[in-house]
Amino acid sequence: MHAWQITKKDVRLLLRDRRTMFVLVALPLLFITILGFSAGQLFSEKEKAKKMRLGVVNDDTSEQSETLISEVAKIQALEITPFTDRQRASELLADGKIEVLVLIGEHYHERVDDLEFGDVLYPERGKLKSQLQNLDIEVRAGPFLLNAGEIAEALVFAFAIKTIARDVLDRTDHAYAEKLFLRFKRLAGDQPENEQQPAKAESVAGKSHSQVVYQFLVPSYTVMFVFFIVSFMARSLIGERDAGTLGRLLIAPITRSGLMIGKTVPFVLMSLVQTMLLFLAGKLLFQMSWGDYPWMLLPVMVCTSLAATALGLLVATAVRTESQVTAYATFLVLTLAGLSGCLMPRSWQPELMQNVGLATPHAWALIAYDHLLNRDFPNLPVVWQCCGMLLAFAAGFFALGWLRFRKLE
Amino acid sequence: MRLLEAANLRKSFGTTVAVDGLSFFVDAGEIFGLVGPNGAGKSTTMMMLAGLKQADSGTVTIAGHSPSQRNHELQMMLGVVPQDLAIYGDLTAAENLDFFGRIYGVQGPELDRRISRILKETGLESHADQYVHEFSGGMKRRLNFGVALVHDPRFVILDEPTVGVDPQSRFHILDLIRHLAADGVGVIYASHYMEEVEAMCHRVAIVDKGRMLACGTLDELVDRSHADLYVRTAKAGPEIQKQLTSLADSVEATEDGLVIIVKRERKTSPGEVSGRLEAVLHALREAGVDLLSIETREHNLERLFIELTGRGLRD
Repeated sequence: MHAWQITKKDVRLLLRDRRTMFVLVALPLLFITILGFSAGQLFSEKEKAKKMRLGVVNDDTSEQSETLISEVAKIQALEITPFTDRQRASELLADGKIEVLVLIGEHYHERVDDLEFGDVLYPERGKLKSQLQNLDIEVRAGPFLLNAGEIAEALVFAFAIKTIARDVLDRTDHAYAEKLFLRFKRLAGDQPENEQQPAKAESVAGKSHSQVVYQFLVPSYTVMFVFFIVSFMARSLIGERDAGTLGRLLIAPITRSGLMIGKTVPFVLMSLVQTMLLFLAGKLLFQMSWGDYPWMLLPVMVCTSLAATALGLLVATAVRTESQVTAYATFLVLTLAGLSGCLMPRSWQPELMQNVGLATPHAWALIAYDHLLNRDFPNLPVVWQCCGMLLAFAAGFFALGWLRFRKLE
Repeated sequence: MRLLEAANLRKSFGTTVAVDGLSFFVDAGEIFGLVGPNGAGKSTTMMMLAGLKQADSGTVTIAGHSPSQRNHELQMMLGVVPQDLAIYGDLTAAENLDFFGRIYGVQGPELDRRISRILKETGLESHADQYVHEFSGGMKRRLNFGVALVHDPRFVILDEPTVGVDPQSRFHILDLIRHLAADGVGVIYASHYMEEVEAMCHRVAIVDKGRMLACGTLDELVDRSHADLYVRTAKAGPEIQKQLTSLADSVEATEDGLVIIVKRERKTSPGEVSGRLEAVLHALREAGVDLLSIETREHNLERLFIELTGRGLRD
């Protein structure tokens, strides 16, 4: 009953403190918006960066070489830039602007015309024994992606074989080539050409790049800012002590546990409201998806809020001045956020850091959110395990906080 | 009826002894003053009485209960006005009273009645819905006082409740304290202000460095029916100063001249005092020292306080 009076009073005080509301709700939204925008650019750049940039200098300009280039260009993972000047293309390769340079010599079409059908069927023995060299094609790799040269070489050779095989067969045995063509045409039937092709604008699990960014940013920054409650709880208790009202409460007919619960509950409620508002904003403003199990977000939110407020209680009983709150609580919150993967996706962290991050409650919250928001088939037992870990953190922090709270004077 | 009894209270902080064997009592309807310079141990004593600090040794009982045991009955009968303000700046006056009233289990119409009464008594009726952070220092002090009374305590601990307030608010608070005592509430009142203590307290204890230097009624401590004689003169030579020292109780050389004090104690007769004054005046005439003024100063608590605790500055 008395704990409820303290809760009521603190909620009233919190609602009147506009700075707190700004820091807990408006600031994270601002952060998410700004970072979403910049990270969105980063991700789209990254998508581009994922493509191997291939420069092509075609000195041959025959139909065969053009066919080869257009076939290679169909590969989504390649970004092909044609060049006319070998020197310029070589400079860009050296500067890392392109990863691989393919040089098609002026004798390509002649070399193709010179091939027998057996050379195509058994390239390791005949005129194609030296592969691209025999076709007057050279592949060079840049300094930043040396291995790519070998891959590109194999790829271009394979495509060359693919594009020249029909011509060589047609030239060698026209009747057999015609027969094969008719047979494959029958087999293909009326199947639409692009039926199997994936939509180009989609990336992960049917989401656009910007959505993917917010699927990461909203939960990450929500978790980080939920833990800023630590600072506000500490300030609240110090404020109570500095104002002398803690002394009044300690001599009033209210137990220490009642006082502690009364002081903790408003911040649990506040962090829950904060989380829900941020997720709602994520959905309304950034079109983020709540996944296939939106109801499962609630236990994760509750457990995260409990862990954050329990840590807040511990910190509140450990610090004695406002400047200590600023120094220690802020350092703690930012360090834990950095370790856990709130500031960058966990998958980007080295394995060691991912394991170290598991020592923070943030990491478990992030894992749970990742399963619920970003996986096509969320592993619910893992989500529940994360909730359990968060509750364990909450219990540990709360127990330590309680031990310190009992000694408050 | 005895409400509070403290016996041989002792409290140390590291090597510093803050309270060193204090013993006293307070009866119902009595205002007991606790005076002492800064660092005398008053606030530590108050905190031990309130149960906020544990005594190293000694006992405190309030209506038979020990404050350190957090007895519900004791908590309900105890009101504390701390030295520093202990109210919420971002709540209104009425909200502060409402919150602390509810914490003490007062609810409904009874709580409303008490809030109205306290707001009226503290002169804050027209500021009930104003945020406390907008209050003047005096208004905050009055509310700080009122908050301690919302649960109608039987024993009130006041730790310098009038520090830093204007005379109007001070008189108001002192009036409230007198009314409390008149209603049978026991009050222990710590203060620096001797005139307040002298005007209000039934009994007074003077403490310094944690020790009790004097304790009793004002009549027991101070002979207020008598006065000392202060003779001020122009500057005088060392020989006459030496002669005056044997005639008066004290001779002090100041920038302007001499201050010669002839004390009038309870045991001394009027004739003896006038004889000594006559001798002093005669010596001054003989030495040709100009007489500037003769004043009488009544005995009071402040004089006793300075006598007992000295004139040295305290930290």
